[in-house]
Amino acid sequence: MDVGQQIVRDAITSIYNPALLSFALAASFLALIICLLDWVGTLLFDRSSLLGVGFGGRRTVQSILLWGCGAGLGAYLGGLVELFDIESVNARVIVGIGWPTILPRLLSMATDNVPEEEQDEREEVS
Amino acid sequence: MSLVENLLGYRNLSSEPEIRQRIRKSRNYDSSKESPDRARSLLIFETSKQRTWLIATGERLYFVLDDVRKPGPRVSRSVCRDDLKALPDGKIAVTVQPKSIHTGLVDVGLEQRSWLYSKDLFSHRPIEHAINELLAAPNGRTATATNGKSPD
Repeated sequence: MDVGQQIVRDAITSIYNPALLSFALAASFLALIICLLDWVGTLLFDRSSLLGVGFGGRRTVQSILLWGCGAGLGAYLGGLVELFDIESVNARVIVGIGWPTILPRLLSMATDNVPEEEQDEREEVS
Repeated sequence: MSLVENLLGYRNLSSEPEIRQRIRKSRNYDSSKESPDRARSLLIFETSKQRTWLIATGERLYFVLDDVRKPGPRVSRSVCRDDLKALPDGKIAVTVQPKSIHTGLVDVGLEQRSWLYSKDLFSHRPIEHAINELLAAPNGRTATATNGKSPD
């Protein structure tokens, strides 16, 4: 019984770690700001998203919020397995910007997928 | 759509009727001579994030790229039918070259602008035939994706 309680206590301590949650929230918040700036950039300079996010209409709000959620999730999981130094400010920024780059590659490695070829975009001429 | 793609805000690929309507956005579209409702379509390239469609009207051939990372499908190119180089037998010149196991490059009407195509979509008949049928067919009601594979 004591062993069982100890396991549960350890699990809860691992999952509910205020420092880790703080790291994830900070990464999430930074990611929101970065994504917001990227969206403003697409409006000001009439270019596509540097982050590769799909913007447009209602999807803009959805994309920005989900980008923040994804960064928070990535930061939390990465911090949980001690992939990141959760005390580092740099790590928060890196996760905020780089989580979509890292995550698909990790998934691709896990599933052994071959990268797809892509048709380059061209501007229509008159 | 995967979790990551959802988190990135990617949209779903557009349906064939939506793609046809998209030609209205082309700077070369002439509503007095063309109608998306009467256009014919052919899906030539497909991945999880992109599709390339050829849309043929009585006046022009449109190349529409549908990329889930962009706000909507875009007309990448449009060519007047008269500008498509025809062979002596009257068929449009379509040249194909291999690129990888899954894809090849196709050039329509000797434009010197190659487009990726998916070999899987043309396992039953060559892409040259499919494109010539698309362009030769009467400009009637849509005959969707004549490559034999359902687009959706």
